[in-house]
Amino acid sequence: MSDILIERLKSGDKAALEDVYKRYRDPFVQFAKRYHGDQELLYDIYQDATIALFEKAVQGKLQLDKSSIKTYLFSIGKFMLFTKLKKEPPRSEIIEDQEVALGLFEEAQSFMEEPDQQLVFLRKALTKLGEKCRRVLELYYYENKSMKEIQQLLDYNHTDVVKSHKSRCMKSLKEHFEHKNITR
Amino acid sequence: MDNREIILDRYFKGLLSKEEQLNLEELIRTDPDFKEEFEFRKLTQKAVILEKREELKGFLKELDNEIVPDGRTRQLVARPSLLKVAAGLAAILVVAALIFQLGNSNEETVNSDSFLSYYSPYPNVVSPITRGDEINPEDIEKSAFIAYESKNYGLADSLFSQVLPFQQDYVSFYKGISKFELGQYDSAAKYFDNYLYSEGTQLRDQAKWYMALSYLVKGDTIKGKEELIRLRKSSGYKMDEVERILLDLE
Repeated sequence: MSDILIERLKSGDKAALEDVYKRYRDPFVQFAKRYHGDQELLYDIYQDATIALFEKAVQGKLQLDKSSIKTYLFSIGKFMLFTKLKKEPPRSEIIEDQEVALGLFEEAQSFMEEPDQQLVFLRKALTKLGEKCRRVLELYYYENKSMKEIQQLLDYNHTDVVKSHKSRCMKSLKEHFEHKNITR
Repeated sequence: MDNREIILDRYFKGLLSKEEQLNLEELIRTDPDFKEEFEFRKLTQKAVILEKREELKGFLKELDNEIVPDGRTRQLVARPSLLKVAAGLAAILVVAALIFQLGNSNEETVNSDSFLSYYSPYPNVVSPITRGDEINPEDIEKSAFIAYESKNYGLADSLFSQVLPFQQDYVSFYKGISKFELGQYDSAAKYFDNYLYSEGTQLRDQAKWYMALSYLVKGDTIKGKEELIRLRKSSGYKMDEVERILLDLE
């Protein structure tokens, strides 16, 4: 069951994200209450944790040989909570399987990192692009798809067409971005 | 692709070998134009990821309203003052009235939407109903299909929900059609997708077809097109219609 779910997550299926989200939300809140009592905040953190899981799965970076979806969500969620509260995780949290725990803590920190000014401008520039450009960039940069896969998904005749389309999108993105940089 | 392009591409796909990694570092050190391009693409990747995170966050926040609240969440809901609740209710009423009005006044424009003309509800082929059958009121699935056949899609939708925990395949499909009929295209697409991931085999092409229509009618032509292309690859179901819509979309 959980194997199918992981496969669905990997394929970028939002319904699978929904399944995961609904399945573990209340157990997560129950578990995380020991660290912090604000339920709204815990929901917020849990959303980020499931998004992080989805992201890793879509990008083909999710390795759950030893743990389950639930274990991953609970650990990354816990570390996100510490990051949010600007607390160091208690030593006891790190002792078991130290390397994995530290890796997850770093992952949580980088997820919660505040974006700098450049990034804010570039996000604004992104919204100026057409829908098709944004989809191509999403497939390439978020879903980690190859040119060949993008060609098949979006029904282009040849990968060269995808490449030239992508470079046109990047050029236009750069123009919007530079414009923003000048007029800020 | 020239060499630099290849090395950038392999970097972003996480495929660099040790040697290529050194090569990349060398280029960054020695060629300012290359460095600028590299930095810009890295920033783009971050921006694209943040955009997607925000989209997903919105999606999950909406789900929170759907999840049946247990004791703890109910407490939280009960906390706001009566005044706030009343204000909330008033707002909901206003929105509902607006939607109702919009629904009425726009009926023609919605119907004229070119993709809707390809749509008709799929017949009940899984649970035959014969007139005069005695129906056990506890047989919710049967009742759901009776509602479905009588085009009472609101009732069918809620009855299908009750059966879903026990029967996931074709019920997801017919729930999808009911959602489509109710104009809830996002949700419709989701149930067709659920069907495709279920054990069901009988309605796979149909599910792809209706999923594509859900996206198209809702205005997401890119996803709609993707689904049509998938359908065209896997079978000849609705071949002429698929070709025609794809041509229109060009």
